[in-house]
Amino acid sequence: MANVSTRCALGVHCCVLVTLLGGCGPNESEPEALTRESSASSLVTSSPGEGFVHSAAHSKFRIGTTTSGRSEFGMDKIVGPEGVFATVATSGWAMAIPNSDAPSRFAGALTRSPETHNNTVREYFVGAGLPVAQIGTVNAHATMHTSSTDGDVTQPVFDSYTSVITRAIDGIPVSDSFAVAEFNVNGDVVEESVYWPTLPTSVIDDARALRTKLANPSLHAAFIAGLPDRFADGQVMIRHSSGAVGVTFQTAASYDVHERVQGGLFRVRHFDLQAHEFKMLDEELPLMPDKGTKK
Amino acid sequence: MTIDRSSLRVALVVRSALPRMDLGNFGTGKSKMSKRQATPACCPRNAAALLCGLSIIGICRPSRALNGITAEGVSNYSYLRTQPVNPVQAGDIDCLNQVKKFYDTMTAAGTGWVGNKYYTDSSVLDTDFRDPDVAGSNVHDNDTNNFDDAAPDIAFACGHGTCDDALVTNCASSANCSAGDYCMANPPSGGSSRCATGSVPRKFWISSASSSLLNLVTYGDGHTKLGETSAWGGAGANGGDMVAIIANSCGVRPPFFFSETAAMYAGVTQIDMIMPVSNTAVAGSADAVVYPNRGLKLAQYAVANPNSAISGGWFNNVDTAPQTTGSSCPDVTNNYTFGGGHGIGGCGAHISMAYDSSAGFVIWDVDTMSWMSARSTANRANGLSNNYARYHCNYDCATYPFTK
Repeated sequence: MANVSTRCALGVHCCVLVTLLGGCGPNESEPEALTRESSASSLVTSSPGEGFVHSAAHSKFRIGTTTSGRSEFGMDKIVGPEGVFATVATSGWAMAIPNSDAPSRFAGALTRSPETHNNTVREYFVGAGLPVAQIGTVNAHATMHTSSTDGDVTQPVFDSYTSVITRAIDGIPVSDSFAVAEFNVNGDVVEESVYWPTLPTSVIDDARALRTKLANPSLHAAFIAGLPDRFADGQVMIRHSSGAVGVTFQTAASYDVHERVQGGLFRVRHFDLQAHEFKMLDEELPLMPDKGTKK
Repeated sequence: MTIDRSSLRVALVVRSALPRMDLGNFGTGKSKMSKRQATPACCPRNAAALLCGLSIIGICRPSRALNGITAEGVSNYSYLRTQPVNPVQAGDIDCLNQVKKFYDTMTAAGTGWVGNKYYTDSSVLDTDFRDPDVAGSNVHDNDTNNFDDAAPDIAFACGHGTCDDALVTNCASSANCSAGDYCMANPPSGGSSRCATGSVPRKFWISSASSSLLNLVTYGDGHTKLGETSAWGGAGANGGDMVAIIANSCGVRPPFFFSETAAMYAGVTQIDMIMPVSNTAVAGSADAVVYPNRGLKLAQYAVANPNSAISGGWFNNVDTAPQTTGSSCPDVTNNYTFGGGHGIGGCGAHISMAYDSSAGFVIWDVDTMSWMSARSTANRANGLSNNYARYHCNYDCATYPFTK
């Protein structure tokens, strides 16, 4: 959690640790598209669970001229006339979000090739310091629009791709981590979001141990037999908390299964090395009285 | 500043950002005109006293700032399972996390949004979503005091739905399906595609002994009217929803999403839903996933940049949900070669939809309306002549279209 416990104030290029992780904020006055500085990829450490904090200094997000910094709602923000680059202060989850009328949103897509977009986003984040060895998959998610006349939906029109990088350590998915970006035709990042926390070696070791256990047929059978519903098609992974404001960091090795709930909807269930079911802290059911007078 | 409505026609050709009035001073703090506001809004938060004075003497038109959050979620379906007549096998799900974290984060001190109605489990009634002013309504129908009361502008509901629109008829093309039905297309699959129909109403299940409608809301049947700014389709003029977000099973299905929701629009500016797409012989229908942090991440987006597009937040919600929160597209496995997951099991999308009185408005409603501009009643939809939808898939739905 070193990457989330030590952060620079906005506009200060200072602290060594956070600089290593790409976490320092930029100066208050930024060029129209945030300037990308020298690659941090050469600073990769040997820790298998090293994290990555995306920073405005390494961002191509088009934020506009004349920015200002502020801290509110648990986030450090760089606010420009075209959008906001916000970082959750406690976790390092960085998100660059355009204003609804930002020109970057309406410039047009970078490409109609999902592969080209995926490669662009991959190179962009690796150049910004994302540990290349931890990249799992890169998938292009399409955005389309349509309308209808007399009930007939018109031919959908392609708007853009967003590429989503997932994380895996030693082939084990770290499913809650993500690096997401959409580029437009001008080469600007329209929107991006990155949460890639440092993970303790102990959790990675737990996940490896669980994977080894399940690779042994007899141990696998015993493990599955110990599950309440004998889920056989689960997957070993590393889970961690969402990184949202107010969420305590938590991480664990898990055997995750997808279950179709009676009556519809899927849900995900987690089991530990001993086949005991558990929930992440941010999945615990909240208690709050209803509000409003029922009439 | 005055907007010439005719200029909005430009948006027919170029999807462009229309100016609007934002209230408050988040983000850039710039004052922008509403899509249809003829005079500046009066007395917004932090506005100069002069503007308020102008309002009092009638020079500038007051625009009511609606900034409430309403949330209704059902996690406990035990009553539905055990009711004496026609029990429904509906497992418990985690909707409380979704609605509560949305509600809490949106209404945190300083955000400018205030909490309105918050109902959970057995306090969520089917009649909460039903307009008593529609002819033929149930005597207990009462959205007027619940999901669509006059105050809230953003309302979030979460509960079970039913994927009974996913048929078991295998198909190679829509010619293999009944008239009006479609063959769902997928990325390459291990199983045949299956048909889907738009003729079965979409549903939202509640679970309460106080139900008046068998715990079922069929929201496209003309009795769910959101926004209710005028008496469209027999609705009352007593609603408040600017945006409705509904997370349930098979909430809408392509290509039927307009016809399945058309009757819900009565002033609401945007409806956001989860849209499963794939239906295969191997895996059955895609479906929404119970994703506890859905509401939290959506609200996090909103407070990070309140001047961002609401639809943008709904779409980003797909990308930042864990890929493994939901199985793969289309075969519902752990192989995500073609995508999938991210809050949806199989292939699917988050969709934002609108009906309004012009092509320019309806595009603005979906593409450009921000969290802040959703506070102004001047931005309400005021007609049904045009519709528009934008959706963001958990796979490459540009390469692999919805139907074949």
